Amino acid sequence: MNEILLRAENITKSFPGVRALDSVNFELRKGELHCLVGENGAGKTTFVKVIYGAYPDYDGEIFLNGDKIRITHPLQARELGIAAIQQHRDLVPHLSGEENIFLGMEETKGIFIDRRAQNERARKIVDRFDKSIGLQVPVKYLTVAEQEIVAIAKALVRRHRILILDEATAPLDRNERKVLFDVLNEMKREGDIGIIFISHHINELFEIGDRVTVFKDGKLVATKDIKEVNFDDVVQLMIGQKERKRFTKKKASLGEEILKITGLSVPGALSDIDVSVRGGEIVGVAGRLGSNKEKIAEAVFGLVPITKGRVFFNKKPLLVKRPEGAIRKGIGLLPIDRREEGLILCRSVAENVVLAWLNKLMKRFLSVRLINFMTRDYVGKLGIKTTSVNQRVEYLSGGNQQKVVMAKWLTADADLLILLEPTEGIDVQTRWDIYRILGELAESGKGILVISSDLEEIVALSDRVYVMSDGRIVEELKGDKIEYRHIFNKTISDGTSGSERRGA
Amino acid sequence: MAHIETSAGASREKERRFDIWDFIRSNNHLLTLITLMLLASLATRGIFLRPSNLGSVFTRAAALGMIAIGQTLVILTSGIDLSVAANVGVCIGMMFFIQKQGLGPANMIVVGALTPAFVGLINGLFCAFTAVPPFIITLGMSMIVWAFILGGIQPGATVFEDLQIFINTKVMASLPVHELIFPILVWVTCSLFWILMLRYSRFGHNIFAIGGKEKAAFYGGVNIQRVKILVYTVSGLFAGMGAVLYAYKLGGTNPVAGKDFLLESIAATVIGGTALTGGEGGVLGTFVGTLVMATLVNTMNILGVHFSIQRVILGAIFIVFVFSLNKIRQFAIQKQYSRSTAGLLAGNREK
Amino acid sequence: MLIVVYIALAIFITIYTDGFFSAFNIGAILGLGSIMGFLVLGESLVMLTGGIDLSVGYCAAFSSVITAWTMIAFKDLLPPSLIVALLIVLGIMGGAFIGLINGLSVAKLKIPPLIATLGGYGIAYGLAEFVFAGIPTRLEIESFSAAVRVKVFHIFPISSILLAACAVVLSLVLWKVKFGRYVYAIGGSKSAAFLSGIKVDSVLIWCYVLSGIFAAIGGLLLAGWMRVGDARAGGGYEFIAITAAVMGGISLFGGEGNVWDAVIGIMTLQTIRKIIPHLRISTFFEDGIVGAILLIAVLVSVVSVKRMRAAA
Repeated sequence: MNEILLRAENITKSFPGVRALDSVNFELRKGELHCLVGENGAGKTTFVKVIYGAYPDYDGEIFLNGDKIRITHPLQARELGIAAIQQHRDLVPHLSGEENIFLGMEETKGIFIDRRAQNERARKIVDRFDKSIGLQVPVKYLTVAEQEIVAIAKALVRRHRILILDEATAPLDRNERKVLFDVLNEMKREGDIGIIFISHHINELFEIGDRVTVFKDGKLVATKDIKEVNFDDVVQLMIGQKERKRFTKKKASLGEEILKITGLSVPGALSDIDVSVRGGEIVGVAGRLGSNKEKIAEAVFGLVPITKGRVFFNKKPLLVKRPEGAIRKGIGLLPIDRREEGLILCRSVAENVVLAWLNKLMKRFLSVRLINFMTRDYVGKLGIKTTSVNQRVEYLSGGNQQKVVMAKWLTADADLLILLEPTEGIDVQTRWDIYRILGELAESGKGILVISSDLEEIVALSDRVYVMSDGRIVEELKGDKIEYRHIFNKTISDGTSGSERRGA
Repeated sequence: MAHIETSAGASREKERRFDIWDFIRSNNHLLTLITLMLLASLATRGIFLRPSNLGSVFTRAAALGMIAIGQTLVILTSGIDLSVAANVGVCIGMMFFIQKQGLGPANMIVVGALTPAFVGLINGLFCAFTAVPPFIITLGMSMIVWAFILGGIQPGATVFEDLQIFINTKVMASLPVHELIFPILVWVTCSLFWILMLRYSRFGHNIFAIGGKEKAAFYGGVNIQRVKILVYTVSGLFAGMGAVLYAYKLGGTNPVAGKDFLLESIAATVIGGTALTGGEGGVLGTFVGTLVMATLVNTMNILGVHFSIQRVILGAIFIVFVFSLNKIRQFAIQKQYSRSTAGLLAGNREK
Repeated sequence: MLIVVYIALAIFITIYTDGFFSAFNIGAILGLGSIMGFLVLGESLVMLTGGIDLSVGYCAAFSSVITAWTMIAFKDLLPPSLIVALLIVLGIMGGAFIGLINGLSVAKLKIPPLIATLGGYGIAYGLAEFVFAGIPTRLEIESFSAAVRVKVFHIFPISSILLAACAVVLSLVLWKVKFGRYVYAIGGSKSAAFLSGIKVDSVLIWCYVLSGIFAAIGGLLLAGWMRVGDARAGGGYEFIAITAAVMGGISLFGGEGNVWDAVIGIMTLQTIRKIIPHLRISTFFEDGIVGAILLIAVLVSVVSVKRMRAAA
């Protein structure tokens, strides 16, 4: 029985309005590769963030090699031997691999850095993994996989005992993944290290994992030995027996075709996409995280030029060069990153709500009273919890912030609303609020396109679903055919994708 | 529906409750001004408060104030205008040039104000269409403009009597107030104009949006380029107008006199509560900030502080102010954040 | 790469003018150029960390004023050689002082370098003007000025030798010593540097202090070269230093470039400035041309960054 490296007891972490982790009990053994799985927002990333020091204000206790510790900051966590490997954060792009590996702990001969000694040591470590990686060139010229290996080498040199890899395989292709897995197996053999590995590709668990822990809705559901479970068992634990509530809305009479996309292709991301949305329906596009389905929204909203394929809005060809144009035509977009793209955090609720409306109608002057009135109206209708319409938006919880974004498009009277991962990181109650709002919108004749990797959401909302995998639409489902398991299986692939581009 | 009404009712409750941190945060410039004026009166044993002195404080503030308004607008969009000193210089230079050609004071004012506006336009075009940081663009332009002034126009110290007479007779004669009020009148009017524009116009709204988060503003339909071009042009125009007021007040000056205005305009903006990162603040604050700067300089003059030491003090105060205002802002935000978080979590548990 | 530009420039010049590259002219270019070179060294160091230093110009002015002052103040109290030693110490301390203020503001007060060094600019300006109320003051000790103006082999002024030496040392430190690599690391990614355990604050403060010291050395030499301590002499030099650094490939965003190219940059710039009278353009347009060069250089670097990102 291997020793226990890390033990976490009753870890709880909350954000305004959301309990992200609820009494999680976890342990990591020496020499094991412990996988964490779960749906989006289930808590895996939040949990590791607590462990590597990004969220110092957690409840609960952590024991490292039996000693109770308090993790307060990423730097302190590193000094304790815990490190999360993220090449874009750990490496300085302009410095070479060798320099990055020894950054902060250089080998010196007198006052000068002993490059030769460093290179020797670095090569010794890296060659075990991949002899072909150039350590003398700036790391920005290495492939993502090579950068990851350099980042791992950096952690090894510092004798980190606990390594955390969060979605490390996402940007890798098949060969690179194999290299990484060889690296990880090699590290396990050393015996001293414990690895926490997060992935969406369940197959990967079975390739390198020793144990797997399943998260769901902020709780730790189960921890099992890999030998005791199979693929379906894991999926079952992730999804559970919860009845997939279907959101019921009045069947709206379908209106005209609002959006039609034909043959849209974006090199390296999308191939031959055909999508249509009619007034009164909610259409879902389901796909894994990072399957580039967002590009569909970008094309319609004027964020990327369309080189191949055509888009029609209200039966007329759509030619917009930037969001301004799309908004004028009556299109609205709820972007993935609401804090960076959807809202102006340091401004008030009212100001955010009227932004699109003001610019769509090119109103010269505005009446503060009218704006406050309009905003209060939507605050009430959407149930936005805020102390006042002049409250800075950054103080609102994630769910309420998202409602503000929606209010923006309601005020601007968009005919077509495109939503990207609309309820990510939002609590359950607010989610259903948002679904209700979308239902009402559809009933009033608007067209809604939901592009999401949250399959529960797609199933709950959609009248029709396009299932995407590897940048293509593989299936279109209507009515009763929309079923969670089915879509889940279709979107999950073996984890590799030729169309997923690599590199920064 | 009951819980929504409660929250609306609760929100009205909260609005009434007085929050000292919020008060300090949003009014720190006013507090600074009042404190400073008190200190000034004490330090100068009352000389500061003499009407004639106060008058000169305001007049000096007027020129700086105009320039600071333009700088504020630029900073609100997350930019900065390092060319204001050069713009002041080019205005004075052009006025000299026009005067030399004998074209009359009216033309002097027009050309004097429009030339820096043109410079501002070029700044704006560069900022809007290239990814070059505004500070480099305005820095580079300022050098080009200085070269133009010193090499092309080559003015010396000039006397602008004609200008004074012109304004006194033509412009101010019709108004029932004392002539020297002219700069103050212009400054207050322009400040008022922009205060209103920032609050009640789409343009003003967009300025805050771009400074707050340019990407979100873009996604929200704001025409980023148009706003940026306009903002830098206005900054140039107002630097020119400020220079005209300055020349009027002094009666005679030379282009280099404007060099101090750069630091002071930024200081006035920052003291007035506008965040250097943009998106927060406004012209009302800058109005107060300008008075703070003018009070400071005036007090130092009364106390006989050497001119160069004044610069040192201003430089040091500048740094201290930027730092402490930032800290106050952060602190107040933290307090607000935890208060609203507590409130929301409490609300959740009630369900 | 910049060497190529310079050589091209040199060829162009020789064709279009007669005998521009006389020993005298080269000496003059190297003289003022190497003085400016010190400011460029300091500015490059700061820019490598991703920051900027607007105070180098008046820092140099301040130290040139200190030079004149020390000579007058200690005229009859100390032998000339000691006065010179003293003024060197005082001058460098003055530069270090301004640099310290800048460094602390940036590192500890977390003020953006542009704003912090704008404050430093004001402080240095004020201090420089204070000493003689802005009046250019003759240097009392003639031998100092003479020494500064000595030209080795009748071509290379002492200041250029000194500059070369400093550039060599700085280059060495930047490439081979921990501190230097940390400078690049901070410029490349402050967070990665911090998470690697590097004391970012400490390195930053040192960079600004060194920038102040280099500017001060430049100021001392400037005073000797011009034979006056002049508070106005530095104004605008920070801008030329930044332009030279950008021309030399130092990225505005930090982490890239080397000091040698920056030195070539300033020499190129100085050559261009010297050429201008020959091309019958008024010397007042110099600054304007430098301004235009800066804008072009920055545009080029920004565009090439964009192109590289798109290709990746």
